[in-house]
Amino acid sequence: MSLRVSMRAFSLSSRVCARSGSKFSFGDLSKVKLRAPIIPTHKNFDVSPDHPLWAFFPEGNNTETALRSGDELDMNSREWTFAELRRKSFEDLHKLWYLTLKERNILAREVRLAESLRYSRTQQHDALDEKLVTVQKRIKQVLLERQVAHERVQTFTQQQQQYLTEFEERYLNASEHEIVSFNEKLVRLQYAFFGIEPQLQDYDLEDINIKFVEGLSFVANLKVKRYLKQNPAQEQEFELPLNGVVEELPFLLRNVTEAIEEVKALRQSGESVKLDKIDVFPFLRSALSNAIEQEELDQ
Amino acid sequence: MRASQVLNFQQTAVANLRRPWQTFRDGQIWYGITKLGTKRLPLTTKQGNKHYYKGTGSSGYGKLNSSGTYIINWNKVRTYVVPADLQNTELKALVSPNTPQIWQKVVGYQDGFKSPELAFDNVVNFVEYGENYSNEDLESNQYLEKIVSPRVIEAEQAENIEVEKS
Repeated sequence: MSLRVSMRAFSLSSRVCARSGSKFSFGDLSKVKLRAPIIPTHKNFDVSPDHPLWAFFPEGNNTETALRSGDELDMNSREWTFAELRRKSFEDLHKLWYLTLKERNILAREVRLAESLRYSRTQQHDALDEKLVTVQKRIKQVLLERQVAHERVQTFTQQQQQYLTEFEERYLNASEHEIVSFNEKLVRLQYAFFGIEPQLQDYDLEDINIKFVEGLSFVANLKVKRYLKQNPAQEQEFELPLNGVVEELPFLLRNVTEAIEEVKALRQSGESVKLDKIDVFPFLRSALSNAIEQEELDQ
Repeated sequence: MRASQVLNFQQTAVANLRRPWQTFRDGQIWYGITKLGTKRLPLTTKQGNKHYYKGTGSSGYGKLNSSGTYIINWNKVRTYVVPADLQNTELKALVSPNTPQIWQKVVGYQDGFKSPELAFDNVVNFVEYGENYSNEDLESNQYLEKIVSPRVIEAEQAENIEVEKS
């Protein structure tokens, strides 16, 4: 037998009320009107049309029936093939995954409802679910292929260096009307090889790494060399090499002539110092966040 | 006890063949849904004896502090990253049966889509020709997308030149 015996007692607040002596009463009970009782059916509930649980119904809040019969299901559509999925971007695959997941949730809800209603004709639901499972498995397989290729290509440092030197040569020898397309190529190159985003506001300041620094130095040196080749008169005034990230960063943020001016000003004021290794990332983070703020102010 | 002696506990030989002998009142067998099919599946959370705790690997996302309050460590709580514009997408979970099916053929790479040479060539193509470097008219090629290594193309061209010369 349980040791605890439930005792009927007034709740604490009512006891406090009684002790304080306040006269609490219901007023004239004869004036209280009785209303018809509200019958507890689903028709008496208002469900918000954008309630998140509507995602478990095939047509959202316009759904007519809780359980579709097998004929109402779309049995003709086929799965995404590997070839089709391989042509999709990561973002598209991510979306596809969640779309299949949502469809599967709807089917699972319907099968569960059918089970509780002892309605056994859910073979079509199961068949459709199997198709969706196939799509999910294929998405995972395609992502695995990409992952494997990406991991294997990390060892291709030699080929990468070869391509970069070849690109540098072509960039330096590009004629005046080619340079526009070469600059576009450079933006793509710094994104593909070094993970430097084309737009300043897309930078992930937490994720500034050694590759970013490498890319920065590659891009800055490339631009300076091109500039000095175009303007041989400047060669006497402007000394190479650039003195670390402090002098390289202007070439990423501004165009070449402005960057050259900025570096010259830095050198004159004595602010151009070679940073210690430990100071490189914090410097880049603060400088880039300042640049992002400045850009937002300008807009 | 010898195995054949089990027979002695059954009323008839037929009853012995109808294993498992005991069923629920509605005919469902004691330890599962069906008698047939594979049985060596991983145990679920509901199976096993009193010493078996399977769990979902989801506990321990926080701890009690000295005053007995449970402090959740949000780094351990699982999160689901749903794409932001899932509502506006035109993609569907399945493909229409009228959509023509496409095929892919990889030539000159050792391990198909997993080969690092292909990945590197794709990066180079992206740098040189932009995002849509592989846009070709699939309809004219009978929906066959051929991915050919530039080295194979070079070798073919060299062969053609030699043939022309001779």
